[in-house]
Amino acid sequence: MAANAVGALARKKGIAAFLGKNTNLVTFVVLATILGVMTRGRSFEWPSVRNLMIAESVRAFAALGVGMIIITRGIDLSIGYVVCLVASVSASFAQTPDYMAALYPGMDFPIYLPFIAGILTGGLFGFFNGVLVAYGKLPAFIATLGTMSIARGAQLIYTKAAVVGSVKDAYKVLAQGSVGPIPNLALYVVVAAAIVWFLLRHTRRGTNFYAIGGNPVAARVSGINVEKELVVVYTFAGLLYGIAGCLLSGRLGLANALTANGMELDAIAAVTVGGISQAGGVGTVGGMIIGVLTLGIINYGMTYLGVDSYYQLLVKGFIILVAVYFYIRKYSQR
Amino acid sequence: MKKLLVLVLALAVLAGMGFAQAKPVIGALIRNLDEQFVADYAANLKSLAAKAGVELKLLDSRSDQATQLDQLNTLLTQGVKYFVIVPNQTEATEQMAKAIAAKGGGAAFSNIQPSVAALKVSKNFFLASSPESVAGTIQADIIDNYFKKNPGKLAPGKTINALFLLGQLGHPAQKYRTEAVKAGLIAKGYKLNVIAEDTANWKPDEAQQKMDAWIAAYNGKFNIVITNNDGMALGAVESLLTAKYTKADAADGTILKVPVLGVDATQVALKSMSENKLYATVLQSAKGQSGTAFALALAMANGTYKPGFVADGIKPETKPGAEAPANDASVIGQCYLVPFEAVTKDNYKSYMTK
Amino acid sequence: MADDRAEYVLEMLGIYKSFPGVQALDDVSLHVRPGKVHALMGENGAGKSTLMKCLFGIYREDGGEIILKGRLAKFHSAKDALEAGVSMIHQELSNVPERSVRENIWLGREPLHRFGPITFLNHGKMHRDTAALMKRLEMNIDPADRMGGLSISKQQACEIAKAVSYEASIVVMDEPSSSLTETETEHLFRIIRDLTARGVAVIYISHKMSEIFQIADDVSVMRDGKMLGTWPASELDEDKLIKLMVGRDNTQRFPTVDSEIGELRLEVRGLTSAESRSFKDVSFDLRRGEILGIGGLVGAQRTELVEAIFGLRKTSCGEILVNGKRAVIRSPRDAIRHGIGLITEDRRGSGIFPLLSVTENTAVASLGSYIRGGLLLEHRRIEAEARRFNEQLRTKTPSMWTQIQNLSGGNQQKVLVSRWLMTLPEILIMDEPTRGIDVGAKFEIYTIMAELARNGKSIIMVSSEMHELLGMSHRVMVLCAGRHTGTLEGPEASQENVMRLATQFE
Repeated sequence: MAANAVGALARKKGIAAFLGKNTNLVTFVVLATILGVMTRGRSFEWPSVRNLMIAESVRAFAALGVGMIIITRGIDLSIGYVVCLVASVSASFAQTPDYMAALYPGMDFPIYLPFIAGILTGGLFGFFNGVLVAYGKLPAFIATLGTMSIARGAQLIYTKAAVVGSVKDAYKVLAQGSVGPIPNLALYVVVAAAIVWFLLRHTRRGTNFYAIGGNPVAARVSGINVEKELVVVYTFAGLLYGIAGCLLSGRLGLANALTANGMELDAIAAVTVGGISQAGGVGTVGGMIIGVLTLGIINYGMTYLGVDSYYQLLVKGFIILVAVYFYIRKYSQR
Repeated sequence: MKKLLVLVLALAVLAGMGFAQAKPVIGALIRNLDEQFVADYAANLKSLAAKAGVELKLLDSRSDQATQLDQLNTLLTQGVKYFVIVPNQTEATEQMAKAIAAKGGGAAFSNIQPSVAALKVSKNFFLASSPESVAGTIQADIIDNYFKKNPGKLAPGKTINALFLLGQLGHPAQKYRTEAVKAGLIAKGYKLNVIAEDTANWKPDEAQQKMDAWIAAYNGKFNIVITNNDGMALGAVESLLTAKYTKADAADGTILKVPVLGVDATQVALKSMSENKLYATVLQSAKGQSGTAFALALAMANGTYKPGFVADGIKPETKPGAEAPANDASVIGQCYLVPFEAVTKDNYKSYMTK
Repeated sequence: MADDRAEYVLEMLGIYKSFPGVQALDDVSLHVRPGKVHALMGENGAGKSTLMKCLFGIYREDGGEIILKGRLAKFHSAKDALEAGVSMIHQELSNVPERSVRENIWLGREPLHRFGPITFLNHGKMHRDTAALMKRLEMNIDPADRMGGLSISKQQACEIAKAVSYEASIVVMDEPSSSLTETETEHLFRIIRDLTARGVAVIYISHKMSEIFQIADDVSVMRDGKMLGTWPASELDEDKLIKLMVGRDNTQRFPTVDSEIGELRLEVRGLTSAESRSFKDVSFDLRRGEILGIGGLVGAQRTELVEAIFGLRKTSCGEILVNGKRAVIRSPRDAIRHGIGLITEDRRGSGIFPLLSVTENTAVASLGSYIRGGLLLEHRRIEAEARRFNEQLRTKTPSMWTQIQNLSGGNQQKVLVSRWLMTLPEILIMDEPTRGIDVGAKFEIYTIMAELARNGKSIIMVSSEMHELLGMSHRVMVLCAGRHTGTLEGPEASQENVMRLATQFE
């Protein structure tokens, strides 16, 4: 039966088959079209596209990280507060030396230090998550719930609950600048997505991730060091959150305890809409990015149209459910 | 599926037609509608806009500064130039002001004060607020009055033994209100002894739980409960009532053994005051701030703004004061301070809606 | 037995392994000759798979030595074993369904391009190597196909191909033929002979006696975690082997079923599945005290039929009468209310709750009858009743609170029978009641079935084992491609007649 369905799919020619396999893309195109009509074409103009890219870039980093984790049948709830902590740490090393309320008053750190500190912080938390899941054998949901709280506590202690503001222009420009009309943020996402794509598609490590998520027992008996791979995937995701946090503090020029709160749910929703199954073993980088853009276009569209914020949450929830429903149906059909 | 799609597209086209009027447009970037003050602020903005025949584009950032920036970019792309803004952080105001100034627009900031640098971006940026810290200062005044009237309640050595219930840690209102009330009490010559302080995330139920534990731990060791908002104050009141931490008379204004203070003057809080439970609260006038900010934005949109403009009955400051940004002479003409009011036994009735 | 040491490619000496409460391996030794097929025999729970898992580095033995090609080997993981030249076909399918055949075959050792420190996958070589492997093994499988889209037997073929592709000197095959047809098994044997011709040693585990005598050179027999010894296959026959495995004579394989057949209990009239290619227009009836066997080939829709009677599958027409009254069965709840119980064929997948205790596994279907005051479970009564049923069936368990996953397959099955007896059914449907159970436990299950029938229960037994079908049933009903092709009784019920009816539409 299953073989028949796959056969039928293979027999379908060209576009129809392609769309049948890529309902995430269909969802995105349909939503983009609806928005285009509702804004009478304005949403297709460059300033709108640019706004969308800027708005979704940071989330895209989080989505790439958690997307890989979900492929290995894991989950990460710590994203929001880890990004928040990273943003605070990086901002604290990028404050102008003459700022009275700086965490390190009078210190003028080199411009790369915030990045190194931020990315290391993210990687450290990812590594910690990975060790808890792989060697501690804690369910990922619980392990990352714990680190989420640790990251939140660490952020409040580190910043004494204050806003870390007055970030140097030289730091901000890395996130706020543009190359020609293209915002820097979007370029970083392209580079990161390309790296993750290469990793998943063309390296043994990526194949291992899919195998672990698809069937952990099979992975183990095929000689894969499952524990090590899990630590690697969580650490790598942590590094991506680190970059996200650094870019966010650069973009905002500040960080505080509320920065990036709830980002884990946005990122998980995005990759799920993009076709990364919570059951593990399935998903592509293209899907992750499409998922981020889909949620982005929903946010952007409703903001553009001035939809009341409470209704925005409602509509967003419905669209996520519908998109995932179609994806699930696709899987159960074969 | 196809029919559904056609229907959606048709609706979309219809909805698209709705944008064809040419009214003046004002953007309102609102921090978080979950906060009572901000919700009141937004509601008043809507009614003012309706009265003035202005199209108001009101967006809620749900406490996320990144979202607020995205929303600002979106409205600027749509050609909106003049804004009323309830920011998330002071530190973010300069960046927003620069983005607006790049399109030749202007904005009035309420609730959380803009930085001096933000007001310096151009003469079209204004403070229309009563800074959070003032709420704390007024709490300190109320406490000062209470202990002047009831000196017997003080611990030896003019000592105040206080319990603090704080809002979400790191939230500007939590931070500034707390710092100001502490500083205010010390400035008035009290010895402030913090018995315990912890966050209850603005929530009555969390406040009640914390208070339950504290009553058990510090029975008789504290003489005041200070909170960052009325919700938590009422939670604490409930806890004290349940624990029978009460006395027979209400001669000092409350039947509780110690006074409890809130901020916001919500209707529930006022009712509690009328029952001699909650001791006092502070009103930050959402109506006053939104009226002033809206008047400024509208004047800019209509091109009628001139220095010295009187916004909703409030005149700009002329002399630099103590607090930023109204402490900088170069931007003093852009600062409109909306007064705070202490809500106590003497005046609470006038704030109650019928 | 043991001739010259150098003669062996693998020696496992004095292996001990214990799990909480169980001595799984007790001083077990195994000597494997290169180029030979070494069958490892024993009932379920005898310790065969545990021994192989020690060899493959999945378990760490508590004591003993593994000597591979004359050198002491210490494996900490499957990776170590694979690198030392031991590959294994696992009892359960262990593939990654969402990935392609080629990725599955080369998982963990994918061919790489190298550019200095950077390595990346060589997709082209992976594809070509897979195609070449499939060609060599005469398997018609596209390397690019998604594994999960293949039939179970093709997936099994891929497992075999994968094990061969390691070019190992020892290949362990744990029940490799369980989901293969006869032709496919023949094909597997050709592959095995090809391997042994090239000097590879094959350790072969199977419950199918006929296969052992067809392929094995040496036979080792285990019982209760101990090694009984190794014999040349030529010195053994089926009866001898069974006697060794169960430790007693196997003259009587089935108990006498001497129950009294009573009144009509279940009538099925023209039952047709809601699915187009499933069973159609099936009618039969079942009496008190009767055991009705349902036979047929794979795809005859036997399981589908009994699951429909139990309310797990939808029907489009037909009716079911219980005790002469029309019964509307839309869900298992309805079926249980009408006194019907079903023991599914997939014990692990849809039978046991592995982490729950024996008590809980027994009581789960009848908790509704043990509630006091509409709210509280009567734990003491539940445990007492669960214990009573399990004692009746002679379930062997350390305690009533042992996790069921720690019991052997036969004892798990007894717990499942207890579960349904506790619902006080009149009709018990048993789908493949002895699948994956060792010989001794099988006899016990048969005895239980006969006792149940004697006590007036009616039993429907779906079985693919011809002996069981003929040995245990009063009547045998045969399905072929979803149609009821006949019912056999008495002397008519012969292997030949069943096969004739089972293939009538082909």
